[in-house]
Amino acid sequence: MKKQNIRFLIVEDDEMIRLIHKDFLKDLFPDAEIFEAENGAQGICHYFESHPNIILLDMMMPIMGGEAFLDILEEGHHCNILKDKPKIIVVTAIKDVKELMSIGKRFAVEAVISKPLVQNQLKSLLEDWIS
Amino acid sequence: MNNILIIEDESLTRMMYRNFIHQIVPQYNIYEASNALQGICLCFDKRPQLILLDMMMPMYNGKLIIDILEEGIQKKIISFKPKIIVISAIETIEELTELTRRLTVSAVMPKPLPFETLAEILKFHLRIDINEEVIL
Amino acid sequence: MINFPPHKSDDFMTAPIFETEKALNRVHNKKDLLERVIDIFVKSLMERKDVIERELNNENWETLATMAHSIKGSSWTIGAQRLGNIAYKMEKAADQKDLAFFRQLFEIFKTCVQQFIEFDKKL
Repeated sequence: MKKQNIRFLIVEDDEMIRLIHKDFLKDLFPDAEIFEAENGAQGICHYFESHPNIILLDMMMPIMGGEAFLDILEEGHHCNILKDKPKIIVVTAIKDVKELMSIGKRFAVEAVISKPLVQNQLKSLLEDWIS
Repeated sequence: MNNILIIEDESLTRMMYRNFIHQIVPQYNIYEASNALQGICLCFDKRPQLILLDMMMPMYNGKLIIDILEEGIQKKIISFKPKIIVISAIETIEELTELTRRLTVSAVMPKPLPFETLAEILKFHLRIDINEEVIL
Repeated sequence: MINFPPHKSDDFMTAPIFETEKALNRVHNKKDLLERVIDIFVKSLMERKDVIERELNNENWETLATMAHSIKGSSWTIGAQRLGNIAYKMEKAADQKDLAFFRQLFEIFKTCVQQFIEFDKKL
């Protein structure tokens, strides 16, 4: 993935957390495009409209959560409607280990990070992926 | 681009709609989804003018489609605005009222839907002149 | 003599109201960003507090649990430990549909919101 072509999507209902993520990403990758969604429904719309390469995904959101978001992407890929595969980092307050593990196995999920997000974890992942 | 999307889990019903639609508006491309997840993907892929939507489907129901499109339109994330024709068994008045208030829902029709009614709906919502003498 | 253990709902009062160092850490030590973040946080606290006030009378447990959950998440993210801990208890009470306990916690919560606003964050 090239620095110049990076598109991030932040799917998170908490405005404060969105702001922190966005600021952090802007610092690391000033040329990147960053899209924001308050819930999974908006997230799906942004996904199809802008095809972000990297997605920060919260699981618990009103209207539509991360589970449905992942289900849609998975089905889309399965039916060959969606051709590209983003990298998804789930950032969640879920503590149940079984649940976290099953999320980790979902389509396109590269990492599952517990809230509150420690930015260094995210930083090393992103630097690995982006040249 | 003239596209219509059918989102319906019963294959016989889908086939019937496809058949009907093709008779009424042969110039339209018809796409089918057997569940809401496929439905939303196809919706973004094909950008249909009209969506025939069943509400009752296993796992994810028609509400998923309506919620996503509504959020997308209200927050100006998506630029297209399909019309949704709900064709479904509706259980309660509350459900009916709720549906008719949704931004993207243009009509709520009961199942089973007679051919003539579908023809009228397509004619009205696609704003075209249909040859009234379609042979059934 | 019977030894009563301290009531579980008391433990959060020992938690810090706000830890400036931790919070600054979260925002890469950017003070102005932290100020913006705190503004948003307080605004959302007030909004959610209002929603809880409204929905409490309707015993709308789903909404009450969601509100408490959101407050918990935001509070812990920003280092408002005390608020986060109470919200956690509120979420649990909402899950149990325990009206009396929830009301009790909510009163304490409102006090803690004031405490947070008045706390000198040394920015």
